[in-house]
Amino acid sequence: MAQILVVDDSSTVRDEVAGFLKRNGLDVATAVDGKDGLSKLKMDSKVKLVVSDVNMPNMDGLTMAEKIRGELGNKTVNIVMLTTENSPIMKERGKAAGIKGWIVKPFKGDAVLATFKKLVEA
Amino acid sequence: MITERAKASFDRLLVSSLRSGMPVGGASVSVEPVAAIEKNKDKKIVILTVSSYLFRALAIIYFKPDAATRAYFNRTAEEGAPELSDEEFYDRVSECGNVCVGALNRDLGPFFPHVGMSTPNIIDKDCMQYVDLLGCGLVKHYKVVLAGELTMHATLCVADYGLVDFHVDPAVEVEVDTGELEMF
Repeated sequence: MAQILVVDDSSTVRDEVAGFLKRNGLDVATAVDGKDGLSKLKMDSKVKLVVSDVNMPNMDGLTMAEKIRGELGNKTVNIVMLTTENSPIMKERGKAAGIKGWIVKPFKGDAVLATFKKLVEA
Repeated sequence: MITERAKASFDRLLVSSLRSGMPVGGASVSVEPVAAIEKNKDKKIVILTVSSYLFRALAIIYFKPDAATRAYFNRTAEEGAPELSDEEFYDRVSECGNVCVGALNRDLGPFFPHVGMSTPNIIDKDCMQYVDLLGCGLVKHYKVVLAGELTMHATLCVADYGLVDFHVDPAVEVEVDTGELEMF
């Protein structure tokens, strides 16, 4: 049972983000792409926050966010994108899918930890 | 056709992205243009593309899977941590390329709103001979020195499908708050 699901096709990013969050007392699961993320979220109803890359093989992060709200009908889980992208078009698509926030890589854990903790406690 | 000012702008943006994306763990970085890449020096490349309907830019980072390069990409590991497996090493190089080209992609966005980037791919350096077939309108090579001791190389190739003309003013620094959470 995880509080946070980290979705990224890069094991470097998964290890870095999940490792940081675990060291700070959070329960974290990981997924390798949007398809895997969707599948893991289906199986774990305790997840409060999804931190996802955008550009990934098989299913991108924005499509996954749309499916979380639509296909899974999960309107409550918080979704934050962690990506190199900063395009207004992509952000608008993310907002339409109900994502909560956007982080431009590289990940800086100290800058987001307090907010992540609030999002999993909400 | 790529105008001269667009060539200079691509060059400026790639140098900037290498400077911001290549350092691991706060390492120093220097980037300088070179006329050509030395043959048989590096074995592998990580390649990413940034594309619009007017052009396709290929950003290529050359590397050797040797001890020095592995140590550089593992420099943030805690003391006593195991060496990187091949899979972990290639993933770190790929993610480094991803961050570099992500910056290039973001910087091109204001000029080409429909620009998009690929995920990274690692292939053999010998594949570079096929890049010539693209008939690129711009090819630039760079030497990248990391932490004062590790030398790597990079190449930018831009294949143009129409008039590519934009200008990045070197006096204007566009800051992106990387790592900060923008709440919606």
